[in-house]
Amino acid sequence: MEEYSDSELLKQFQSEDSRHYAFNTLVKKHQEKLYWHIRRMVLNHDDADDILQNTWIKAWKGLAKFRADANLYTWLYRIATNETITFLNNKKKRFFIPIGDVESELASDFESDNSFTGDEIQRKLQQAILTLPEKQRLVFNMKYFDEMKYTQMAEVLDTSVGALKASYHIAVKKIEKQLLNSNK
Amino acid sequence: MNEQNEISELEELKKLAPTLSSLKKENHFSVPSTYFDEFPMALKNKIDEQENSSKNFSLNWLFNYKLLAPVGTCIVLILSSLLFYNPTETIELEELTAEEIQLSFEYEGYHTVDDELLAELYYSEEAETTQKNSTTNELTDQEIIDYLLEENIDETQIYYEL
Repeated sequence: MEEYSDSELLKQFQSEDSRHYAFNTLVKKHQEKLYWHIRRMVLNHDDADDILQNTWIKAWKGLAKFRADANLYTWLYRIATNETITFLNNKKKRFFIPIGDVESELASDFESDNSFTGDEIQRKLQQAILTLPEKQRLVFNMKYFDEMKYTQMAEVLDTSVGALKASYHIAVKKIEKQLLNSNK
Repeated sequence: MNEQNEISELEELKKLAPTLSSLKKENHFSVPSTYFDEFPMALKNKIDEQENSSKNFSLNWLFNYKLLAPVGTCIVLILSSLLFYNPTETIELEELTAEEIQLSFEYEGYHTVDDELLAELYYSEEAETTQKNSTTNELTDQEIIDYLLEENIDETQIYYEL
């Protein structure tokens, strides 16, 4: 299959004849990265699937107005992040979970999650990540797992690079401390 | 430049968190084996479904049970107000005779007539009749004399006053 760039696919999307083909190609190209970004935040596959679908539906609706000079991947990432945060906030409201306690709810879900296949130390890493507040967890995942640049992260999260560096630094120190404590 | 940045970030991570940096960055969450192959088609179906439902909305709202109750209530209210609403027929009383008014009360009870106007009309008709009688029928001498005797008026006094 011929590999098109995002800007080429965007041009094709503007034409009625090739719109569906271009969108389908974009989905295939970016779906996995977006899925894992969402999945690491919500842990559950079905929830991640719902959020990913909503992300692409919003992209389908907004793609016609998308500026060609902007970074499509950053824009998709931003939609996915917003959808994930909305989902987590709704979860707090739905189950009357106090703000900040959604992570402990996720941690208890993770305990009984059979879809996690990692060894003991990987399980401890996930548990340590779940002790972080929502925004810090988001920053840590984007930097550590997705290996995004701070400038790109700043665009997605609408925050300064300095604030992101500080947030990541704190998150790393917390996780290291948790890992060391769990080994004792 | 980018490579240098990445190396310095890794070095920083090693210094800051040696345990964390020693772990392999692997994905340990599992996903259904055909999920990413099937996802584009599942997404397309969902988008088509949403677009069709938004197109059909203009007709479907008529059959929407949530709208049925308020729309039905509005229709019943409009029909009942049309059924029971009777604009009051205004009649100029001067155009009617007392007999007609009487008849309208007896047979067509729905006309509204002001009581005072009705009394006025009766009074004016009676006065008219009396006036007609007084002008057309002249009094006889005997009637005048009887009247004067009855009222105890002296004849000479009348002459004097005249």
